[in-house]
Parts: sequence; C-alpha cells; structure tokens
Amino acid sequence: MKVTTFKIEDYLDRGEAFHVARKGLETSYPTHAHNHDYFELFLVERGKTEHFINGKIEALKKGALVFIRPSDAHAFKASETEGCRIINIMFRKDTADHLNARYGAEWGERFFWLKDIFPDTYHLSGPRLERAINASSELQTSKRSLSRIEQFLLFFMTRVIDYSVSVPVGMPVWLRNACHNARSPEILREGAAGFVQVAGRGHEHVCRVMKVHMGVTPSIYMNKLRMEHAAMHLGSSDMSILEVSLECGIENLSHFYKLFREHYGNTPKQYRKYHRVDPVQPN
Amino acid sequence: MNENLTLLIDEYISPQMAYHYVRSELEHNARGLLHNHDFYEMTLIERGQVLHEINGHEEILTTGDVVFIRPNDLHAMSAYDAVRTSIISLKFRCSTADHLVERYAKDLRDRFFWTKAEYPTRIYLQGAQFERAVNTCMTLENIQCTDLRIEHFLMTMMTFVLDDVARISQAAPSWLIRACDASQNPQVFIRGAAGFIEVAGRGHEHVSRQTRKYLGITPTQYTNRLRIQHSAMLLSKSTISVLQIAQQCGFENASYFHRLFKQQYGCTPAQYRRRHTIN
Repeated sequence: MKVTTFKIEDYLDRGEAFHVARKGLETSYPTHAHNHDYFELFLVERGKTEHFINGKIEALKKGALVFIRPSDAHAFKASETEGCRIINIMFRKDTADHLNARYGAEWGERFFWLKDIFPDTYHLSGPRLERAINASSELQTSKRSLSRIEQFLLFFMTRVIDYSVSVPVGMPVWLRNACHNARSPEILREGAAGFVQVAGRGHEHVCRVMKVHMGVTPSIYMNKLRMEHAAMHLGSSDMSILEVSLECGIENLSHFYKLFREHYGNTPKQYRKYHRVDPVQPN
Repeated sequence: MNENLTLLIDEYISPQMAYHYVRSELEHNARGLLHNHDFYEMTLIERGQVLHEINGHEEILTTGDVVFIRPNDLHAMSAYDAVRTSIISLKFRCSTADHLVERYAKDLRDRFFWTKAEYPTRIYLQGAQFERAVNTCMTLENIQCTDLRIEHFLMTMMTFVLDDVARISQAAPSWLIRACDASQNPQVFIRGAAGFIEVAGRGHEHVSRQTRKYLGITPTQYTNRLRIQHSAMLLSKSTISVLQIAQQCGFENASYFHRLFKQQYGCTPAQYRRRHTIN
C-alpha cells in the first residue's frame, strides 16, 4: 500500500493541543495507508476491524488500545458484518517528547516509546474498558488545552493501564499469567519461589525471560507486590507491623523495614500514621 | 507577634519522595499553630468546619472547600465546631509547582497556586464534583510518591475536577466570568443556554463566540454539564424518580437526558443511583 502523511495542522488551530475523533470505519481499505507528523492513541469502542500496520495485517476487536507513533503506517477495514467504531486521540510531538523526558524513567520503553516494528497494543475489558471510554468521551467536550491532553495521557498510562503491573503484548503467555497469579496473597508470600512456581518453568529460564521482557528479576518484582500489599494493610487495617510483615511472607522484621523504606521512603509506622483512613460512619 | 514558624518539606518526606498525602481529623480544642512553608499545600475539607486564620484574616471553611496554599501564606487551621472534622492535605515541593506553571502557563498562570492575590484561591465543590475530588485524592493512597503521580494528580484536579467551576481564565471578559458564576445557580442552569445568555446580558452570537474562545465549549455544552452534575447529585441524595429529576434539571426529553448523562458519567442514571446511594 502507498503511504501518505497526515498533518496535525489539518486538525488543530494554533494554540490547540489535541483532537478527538469518534467514528465508524469504512468496510474497505482506503487507497493509501497513512503515517503522521503527530502521535495518536486509538481505542476500538465497538465491533471489529482489520488493521494494516507497517506491512502486516492484524485483527483488532472491541477493547484494543494502540499507541501509534508518527512513523507507523496504517489503515483500517471494518468488519462487514459487525462494523467498527473507534475513538481516535491525536496530539503534537511536543507533548510526547515532554512526557517521555519528564516521566519516561518511570514507565520505561513502552507505550509510544516502544522500540519495536509494531506499536504497543493492549486489550482492555470490563471496568478498564469502561473507564477508558468514559475518559475519552469527556475529553471530547473539554477545552483543547495542553494541560488537558497531558493529564489525559498520564491517566491512560497510570490508571487505565497501570504500567507498574500491566504486561505488554508480545510477552509469553505463561509469564503474563504468572504476573497475574502472583498477586494473590498466598503466592506473594512465597516471594520469588512463589513466582517461579506459578510460572511453571525452570528458575533460570524464568529469570532470564522476565529480565528481557520486564527488566526486573522475580525477586524484585515480588518484593514490589509484597510492599504494595503491606501498604494496603497498613493503611486500612489494625494489624500490627509484625503481623503485616508476616502477612507478606517476610519473617525477618528488619528486612521488612528495609524493603518498605526502599519502596515508600518511610517506615511502616510513619506510613500508617500518614495514610490512616478514618472509618466511614454512615449518617 | 512571635517569629513565624516555617514548616519544611524535608521534615515530612525523604529526598526521593515528591509529596506527602494525609487524610486526618482535626482535634477539637486544639488551636492550630500559625506557620508558613517551604512547600505548596492543597487542603480539601472532607467533613465539618474549619477555622482558617490566613494572612491576618479569619475565615470559616466548610465541607467541600478546597484551598490552594502558597509557601508564603501564613496560616493555621483548627476545628471550628464540635462535629467531626476531617481534611485531606497534600504537600508538595516547589519544583513541582514551578514545573507545572512553566509548562502549562497558558492554562494555569495567575490561577490556583499561582494567584498573586492577597489570599489564596479557594473553590467550593458540591455534589458530584466534591465526590470526584475526594475519589481523585484517594488515588494517591498506597502508591509510590513520585513526580509522575503528584503532577498527574494536580493536573487532574486543576484541569478536570475543577474544570467547570474554575476553568475560566481571568483573562476572559468580566461579564463572562460573572455569567459563569451566576450559572452555578440551578435557577439559571436548568434553563440551559438561554439562561446562560440571559445572565451574560450580551447578544447570543457574541456570547457563543466568547464562550467558545474562553471555555472551549459552547454555552449549551457548558450548561448541560452543570445540569447533568446537578442531576447526579439529586440521584445520589434524594429518592425523586429519574424522570422527575430529568424534568427538574430542565430536560423535557428523557432520552436526551439519558444520552447526556451516559456521556458524562459512563453509566445510566439508574445505575449511578444504585452505586451512589448511601444507606
């Protein structure tokens, strides 16, 4: 397919920072694929579509969320039987560059900054999909300001997809499942051993593959989950700190203190003091 | 007066942390200590009444008030009456505030934390917006206190939660600012765009053009948002039927009401009521 380049200036006035389009797709391919001088996030709201992307054809269905970079050349062809509706959010390069420069270290090379031929793709369902659609429709009626689009993108990256726990497409299924299953308290109590066990592969292999796809070892990953679990109990229960530590499967209390401080910058006690939630009393 | 007490952010958080978040109760009979800061602070009154001494003046803050405290503001907070008083307080570094106002100067300059007025910006939230503000604050619980989280949070509060009440820039014509204020009144917003144009006191065309310019949306969209928010508040706080609520908010056409409601809250009015009814 031949490629033409779409320009952001055709959608935006000077001083406007983004554009939202919500549209039904045609059931045949356009004559040209297109790439862009801007970034684009699209979400399949309903139906199914073929997606021609950088020379490959993939099937996308309701819930697919794709982070398109300027150089990605693509085109759509909606399913003839079901049709397809997408929400498309486009914004300037300056926004992407800024977000990556300021916060990129936190999320690493993913989303718009994935170093791969194909763009980063996620599949949303249930409440996450609902949240994504709501946020996009609210964006549509908002002022097209710079702060609004950057707020919106950060919302997608931290709250719709929680980058600290979500798993990119392209990762082996067993590893994805292991990440999911490792969040249950019985497993996270076992630490790295628990992770390796739910992964159902050899220890060495699990470490190597995880390092490649997620940049961390099972033990670092599990400690993070354990500390989040601990923080949840500290903030919302009356368990003693020792009990919380045991609840997370850490028997050595000073090790628990050390990990907790590394993760939250506070001691568990300070954390509890700061984050204590009042019991809500119904009127 | 005694020498001022200056609170330091480093006494609350370690160097790698970007903010401090606390949801707490104010003790009764304890007078707050007058202080200023080397940081910024956002306080939301979640329940009760607070006596706020601020730059030599006293005010009463009530449930739903949000205050944007600047480092130099000299202030103290104390519980004002005998009911339970709880507040959400968020402290963050000057580097965060400086970054935000530099990058989003057009949206934020002279507003919120950056007003040059004698007293800090104070915004009163009610109904669905207040709920949304509290929920947004709670997203800061149990996460790592990074720049990303605090800056995203502040942007969410300033561009999204407070969008409708505070979105209008001070550069807008004063008649438009007054019209936005006046439109917060149900008597006005239930009449939709017509009500808005009437309080603006200018010609239809002119009002529409200026509203689009300064609020980024049309008078109809603006008043629809207020009407839908009001309906959400009635859904959660009353037992009036959905149809009656639609009518009270000035919607004659129930399916139009449903569609707008769904667009704004992502669920039907009946679902919203089920989720938000308090036993």
